[in-house]
Amino acid sequence: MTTAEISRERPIRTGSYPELTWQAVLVGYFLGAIITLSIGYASLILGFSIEGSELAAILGFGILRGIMRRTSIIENNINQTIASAVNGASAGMMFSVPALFILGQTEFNPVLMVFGCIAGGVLGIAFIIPLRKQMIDFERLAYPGGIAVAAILKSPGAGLHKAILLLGGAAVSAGVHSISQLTGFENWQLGNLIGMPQYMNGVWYISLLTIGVGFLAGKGGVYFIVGGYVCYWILAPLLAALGLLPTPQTLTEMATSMPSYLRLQLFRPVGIGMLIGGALTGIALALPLVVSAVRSMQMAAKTKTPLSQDEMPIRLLYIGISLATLLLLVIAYNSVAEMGLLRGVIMALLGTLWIWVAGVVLSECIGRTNWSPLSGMTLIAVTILIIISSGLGDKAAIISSVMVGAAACVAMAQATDLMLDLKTGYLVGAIPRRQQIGQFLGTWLGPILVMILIFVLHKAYTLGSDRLPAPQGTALASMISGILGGEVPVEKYVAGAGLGALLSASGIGGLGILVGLGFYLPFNIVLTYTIGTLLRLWSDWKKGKQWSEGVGVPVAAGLIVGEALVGVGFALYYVITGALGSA
Amino acid sequence: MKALGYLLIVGGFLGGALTAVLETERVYWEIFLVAIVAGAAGVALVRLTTLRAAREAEALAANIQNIRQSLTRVVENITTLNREKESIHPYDFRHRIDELFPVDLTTFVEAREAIGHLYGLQAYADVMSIFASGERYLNRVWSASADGYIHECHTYLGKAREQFTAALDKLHELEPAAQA
Repeated sequence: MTTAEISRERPIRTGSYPELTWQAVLVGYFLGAIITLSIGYASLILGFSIEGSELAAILGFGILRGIMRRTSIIENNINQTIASAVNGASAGMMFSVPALFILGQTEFNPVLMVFGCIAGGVLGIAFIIPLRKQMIDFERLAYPGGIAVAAILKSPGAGLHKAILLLGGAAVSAGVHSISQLTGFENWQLGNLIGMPQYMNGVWYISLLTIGVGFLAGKGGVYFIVGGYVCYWILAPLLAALGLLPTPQTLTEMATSMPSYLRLQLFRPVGIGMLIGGALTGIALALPLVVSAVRSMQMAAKTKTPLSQDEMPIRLLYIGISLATLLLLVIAYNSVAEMGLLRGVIMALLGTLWIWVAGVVLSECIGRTNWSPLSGMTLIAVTILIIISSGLGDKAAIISSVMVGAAACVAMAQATDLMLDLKTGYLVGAIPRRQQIGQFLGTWLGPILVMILIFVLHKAYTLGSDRLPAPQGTALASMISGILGGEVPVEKYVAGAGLGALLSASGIGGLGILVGLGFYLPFNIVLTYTIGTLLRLWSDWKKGKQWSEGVGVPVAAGLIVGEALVGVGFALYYVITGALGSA
Repeated sequence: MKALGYLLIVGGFLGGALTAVLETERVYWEIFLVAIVAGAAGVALVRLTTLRAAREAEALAANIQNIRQSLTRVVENITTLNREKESIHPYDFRHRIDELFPVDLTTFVEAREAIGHLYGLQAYADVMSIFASGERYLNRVWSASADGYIHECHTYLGKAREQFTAALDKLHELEPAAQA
């Protein structure tokens, strides 16, 4: 029987195509809650968060299509948008809030913190919505994660061949990641085997997901990997030749390794500066397009054409931004008794401004490479906030800056998550306004769940203990201690900003951000990512773009999905064994 | 000139980056600024030569022709598909879309920046905004077809046609304006 004959046996459906339905909203909440708790808990052990969209899309498939007999790709897109919006809080809060517990500053108001994170989420979404046209329609950023989710959503109609490629890729990737997780073999020390100097950092990250992401990002990822090679294969050998690298004995005294020293002390601060300088220059250069996108939304609101129904009314966004900023002001003012109105206003306004800037930086990064430097942007936010709150005393400064910083962190996570989902929506033909409503609908639930989870886990195991190390929170806590002790690499940030601005002004789209991200991320990721990038360049060149799209993209999407699912599987394992008290 | 510009950018960037990472505590600002100025001179050279090259009649004409031809074919194909929609089985729309559109849509997208070079950024934004709506509607037809929603396929096929036609009209409108 041919595909066409099989199709003809399926029912023809009339009436409207289900999209933003109550079923999608409720299943989105349900899946979002499960994913948030699982991933949130896992991130306290593993030290990183996982984007929940792929998992939500697949589970949504099972529930919406399998159990509830629903039949709409775009309804599952809404479900996945809401679920990942709920999960946005786990990425944002698990990096920031545990730092308060680790620093012993637990006398904060958790209700206020939850409201702050909800306000942050609303701000992140409202600020990024007007940039949808600029990033997706005009710049056509790749958003590899968004492509992978679209491939999952479209799989019922994409045909057996593509479904097999997707599942095959997922199976291989899941297998490799399972072995890696079970054996602890997460990095391959090829550099050591071939006698490469330590400063050249020849360590490969064992991750087919990373290869898949590199493939989907395609040419866009080339400059990202260039950033990494500049650091470890050009600058590091130059530093070695000049005799400026620490000796093995010094490294032992510093309790660090050469790659960690290079990354944390030298390259990462410059990379953070590059991301900011590159993004701000990019915004300045793209200002006519951004203005045009906003103007188009304003016109759409006035003319009320059928097309305008696709966009969120800009006036509603202005109201949302105003109310959320006001809420952030109330939270900053009430965060500690010592705050004072003027300082509270400055904190809220700078927090809001940073949410916008960082939202753009992260959305560009994730759009071009699928990596989001959330921790770096949060670090800058907390640094700025601590500088403003200095004079209140360490305790008040820590509590107030982490409270507003957590709101900024959730905002950034929501902004990047929404842009990924909007890219998926573009590829499956969703109406942006309905997705944006879905994202707003999912924003309130995550902060409540994550705050409860944090308190329960802290009471049971103590955050920062061996049982629950909370690596991200620990890192932020040590950075806060460093900032309070005056250790802020301001010169590196400023120099990085200049370099990022220089590259972004060169005329190659997002160059400062891409190279900056190569400076920022560990080189083992860059090396593995290179394989994906080279495979894409090779397949476009030798096999043609149609082959890349028809065969390469489903396999690459499968690689992402398989590893993400196994990652979540291990997270669930930790949740269950943690509940049983046996882990 | 362009090669020299890139050389200055790369040299300026590497020089600046090296001076920024020589020590953990400080940056050698004097050398850093020299490197940045060299890089900035490179940026100016590259942007000037790129702008000049992009405005060169031959390169622009080739890209604009690609844009016009691919969009014209998209409009022709979607008009035909829309005309024949009553006779097409709802589950078959997605196969027709996969056959008829990917190559032209990709060609248009790859050459799209020529619109900005020739007619300005506002015109680029106008055309891309309409084109992207058309493409999104076409993707919706694909999804609705995979799920068998016949009315949705018909409605959004019409909407996609309107958008692609409007994008082509906008391109035609821009030509006399540019010549004037």
